[in-house]
Amino acid sequence: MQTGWDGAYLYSAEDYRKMRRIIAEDPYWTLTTVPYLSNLCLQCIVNNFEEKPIFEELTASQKDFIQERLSLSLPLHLTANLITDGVYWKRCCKQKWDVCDVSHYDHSWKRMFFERHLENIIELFIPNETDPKVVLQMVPLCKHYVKRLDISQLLPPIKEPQREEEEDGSDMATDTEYDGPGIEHFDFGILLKKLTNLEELHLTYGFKHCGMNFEWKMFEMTDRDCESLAKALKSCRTLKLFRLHQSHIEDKKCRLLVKYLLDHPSLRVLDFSHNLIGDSGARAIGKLLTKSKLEVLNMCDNNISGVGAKAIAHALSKPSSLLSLNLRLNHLTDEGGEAIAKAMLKNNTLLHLHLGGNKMTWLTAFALSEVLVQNNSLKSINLSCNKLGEDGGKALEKAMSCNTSVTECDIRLTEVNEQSVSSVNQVVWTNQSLQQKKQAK
Amino acid sequence: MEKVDKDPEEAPGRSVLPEKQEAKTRIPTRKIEENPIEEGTEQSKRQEEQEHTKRIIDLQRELTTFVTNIQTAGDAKWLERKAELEESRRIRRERLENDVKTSQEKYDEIVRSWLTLNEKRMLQELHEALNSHQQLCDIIIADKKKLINDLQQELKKRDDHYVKTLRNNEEEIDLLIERMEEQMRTLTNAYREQLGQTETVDQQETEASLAQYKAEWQQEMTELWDKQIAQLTDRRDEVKNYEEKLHDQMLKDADLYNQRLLEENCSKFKVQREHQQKKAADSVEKLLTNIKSYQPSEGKRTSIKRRISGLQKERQSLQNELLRQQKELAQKRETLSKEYKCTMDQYERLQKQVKHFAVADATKFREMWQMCEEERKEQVEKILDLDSQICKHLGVAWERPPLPFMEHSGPIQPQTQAPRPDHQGEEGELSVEKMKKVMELLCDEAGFLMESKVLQLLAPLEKENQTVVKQRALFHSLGIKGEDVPELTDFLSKYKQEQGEQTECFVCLQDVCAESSDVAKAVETSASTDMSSELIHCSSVLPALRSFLKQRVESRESTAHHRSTVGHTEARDAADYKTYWDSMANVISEDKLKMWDAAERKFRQYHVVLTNISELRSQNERLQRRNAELRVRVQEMAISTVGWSH
Repeated sequence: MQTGWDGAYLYSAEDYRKMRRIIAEDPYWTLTTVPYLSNLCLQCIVNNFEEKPIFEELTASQKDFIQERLSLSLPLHLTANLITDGVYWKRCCKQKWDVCDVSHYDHSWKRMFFERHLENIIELFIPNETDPKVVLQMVPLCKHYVKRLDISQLLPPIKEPQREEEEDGSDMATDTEYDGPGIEHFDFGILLKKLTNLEELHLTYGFKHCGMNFEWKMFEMTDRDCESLAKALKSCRTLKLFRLHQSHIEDKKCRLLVKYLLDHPSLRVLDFSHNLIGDSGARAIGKLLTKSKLEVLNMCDNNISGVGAKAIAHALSKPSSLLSLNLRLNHLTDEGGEAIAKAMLKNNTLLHLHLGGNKMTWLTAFALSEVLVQNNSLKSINLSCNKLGEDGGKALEKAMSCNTSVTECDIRLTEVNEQSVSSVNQVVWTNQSLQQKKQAK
Repeated sequence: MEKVDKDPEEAPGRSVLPEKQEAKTRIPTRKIEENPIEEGTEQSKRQEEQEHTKRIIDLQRELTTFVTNIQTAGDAKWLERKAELEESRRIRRERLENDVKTSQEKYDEIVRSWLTLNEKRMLQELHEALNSHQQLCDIIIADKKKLINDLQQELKKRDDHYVKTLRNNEEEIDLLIERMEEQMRTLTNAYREQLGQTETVDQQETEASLAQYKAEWQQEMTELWDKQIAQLTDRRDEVKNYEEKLHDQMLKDADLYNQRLLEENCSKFKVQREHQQKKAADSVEKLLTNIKSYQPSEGKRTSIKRRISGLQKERQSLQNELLRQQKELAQKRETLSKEYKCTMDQYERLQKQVKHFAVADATKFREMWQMCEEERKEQVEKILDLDSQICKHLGVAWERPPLPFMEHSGPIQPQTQAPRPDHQGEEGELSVEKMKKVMELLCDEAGFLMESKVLQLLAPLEKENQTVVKQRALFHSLGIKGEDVPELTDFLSKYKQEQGEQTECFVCLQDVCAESSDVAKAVETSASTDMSSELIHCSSVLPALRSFLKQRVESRESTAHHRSTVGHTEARDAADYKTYWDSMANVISEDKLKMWDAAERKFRQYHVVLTNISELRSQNERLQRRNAELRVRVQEMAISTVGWSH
């Protein structure tokens, strides 16, 4: 009897040990990690996604599961229109780029991925070298998601040595002798009309990391480029913002572009900052202002002088939709300044005016002080870096004391008396608080 | 590069401000609604808040200007540089133009000199002219070279300058970023501070209001409680009053009720009395009328008849039932008696069988006995023969021992039982009259055995019948069957003769039987029988009966013993058998056995000696043979040696 009991006890103890050993051998063994059959099925879908993509039929949680696990190396033509915005695209973005600020893309990872992907393709496009199909293939995949293109470089074609010799370092290169058929940049004509959701286009004809091969030609667009771009812009009916900066655009190209943009149905923001546009270009833009519904115009850092400013002022004097005008760092001088001030007397839509760094003197200040007294729509005015002098300052101070709408008035570095500066600021601040109270109501 | 847009860093400031302002303007209005009492403190608070907002706005402005200052400075510098560039460009252009002019002049001179050269014929002159020409050309080339050098130097300077400005720009941008960050930091700190302050203020206010509300609530509650308590006490008093009133009313009501009840009872009794009186009068009248006309009505008679007939019917049915039950009982009795007979027959059959088997066993036993005895006798004869031989051998005189059992044959019979009385023979002698007398005597003597009820029932019957019934009852009670009656009479008649001899036995029997009342009474009956008959004395009837009964019991037992046959008798006579068989076994006495043993031993010794002798003889023979062989060999050897020697 005793032995029998002992035996049973030993046996059971052995069993228990066996069981424990099984668990101890596999440190990850727990009941909870035994996968569900549904998970296994989903994993199978993930593994065979390339052969048999199943996504639409799944529930939201299953989609999440798949998005977490899909291979990032899947071809885009498979995933682009199938997989909705979510974790998968986040993973794609994080894999491709270190810095990903999704807030710039309406918090859509998919949009971010496709925009940046397309930008990369275009920026690395070498004319006559890369097959245009590379870009065209992407169009059907990304046309629904791309809203903005910010292209920071456009590669020039690979040059023949003889052409190199002909060029020189002139920074005023307006010659047309280099505009051969073979050296134009990427042709936007093939792309823009197909991107049906494009709203913003930021362009610069530049070349990053050029190193010791620097040539001015790399940083400017050819006539043919200009024409194709202008036609492409016209074909893109959804574009709202067009920004072409630091691209050595001179009058001729500006005129060409404006010519094609005259009847654009949706363009609201135009930015030609940091170019070489002169008076004739400014005239063309003045014409554009009267004809289109442009709301923001940025002509900062160009070569517009009094004559061009007069043309723009003429457009301003007529009823237009323009809300913001930036003529910073031009050569308006008093001639242009006075013309604009006169125009502003008739205008009551413009809210922001920037005339900083335009070699204006007290004459313009006097003209503008009249505007400030009469005009009640202007909200911000910037006259910094002009030689207004004490008289101009006093005139402005006087005018500001009657004004209630201006909430920003920048008259720094204008040789104005500090007293008047402080009084102007006082007025501005009271106006600000008034404005806030209005808003609060 | 330095034209960083101003908007991004200004925008947040602008957007945050209105919200703040809004929040601040909203908070005080709420507070005014809540706390109209503490207006004085409220004003001070509002002032504080205004100060706060002002401070923050100032901070924002200062910081933004601080940041944008750099930008405007950058713009100014850019303008300066642009102007500078244009100036230098203009100078360069002028210089180039001058150069072009001078070189043109010189070129013209050279061309003119070429013309003069063509005119001159003299070698010397030509030589001079050529020289001057060459000089002019050299001058032009030198000028050009100088110009190129200058331009190159300027380019270099410009390059350096460009690098410097780039570096400056970088520094400025760094500064800008730093200031922006600082602004953000300070602003966030300021906002946090303000948030904390507003929170604490808000908390304090809420606490204060909470405390106030609590106090108010408590006050109101206490008031309410007091009111309720007062109301409760009032109500209690009222309740007490009402209770007292109720009690009084109840007492009054009870009194009233009792009075009314009494009155009503009185009236009721009166009415009842009257009613009874009336009733009595009525009944008296009725009786009178009844008496007058005492003729039972037809209806009553029929009803009585009906009842009678019903009862008769009932009786009839009951009688039927009785008859039926009697029949049933008779049937049952019949079947039972039949069964009884059957079983009795079976019993008798079994007894016969048993007897038969007993006889068969006895014969078998006898046969077996005889067979064994014969065998034993033969063996004894054999042994005796052997003994005689041994004795003869030893030379001892042998006598045949006395053997009485050798004549005996068959099993030893146990003591023969007392001869049973032969009923058959005696029956004839017993007269019917005698039997009758005996019966009567028995009945009279053993009358006490009968139950009084039976005697009463028998009283009206005739004497003969009476005796028969009595006899049956007696026999039944004594366990005597009808067959035994003649035996009993015989016994009783003989008893008297035996009595004289067996007085002792009688006394002792009487002692024993005194215990049993039944038997004692039986003695009386036997005595009574004696009185009427000449054979038996009245007084000796009972003991006779008793002895008879005892004998019967014994006889029954003995028969039962008989049934188990010889087995029992054999067991009883086992000692006899033993002696019988032992005598057979001890034919040879102990001394003789001892003698036998000694003789055996001696014979054995003798046998051993004999075997030794036989062995020695065989050995001897062998040796003799060998000797003979050896002798032959020696002879052969001798012959052979003779041969050799020859």
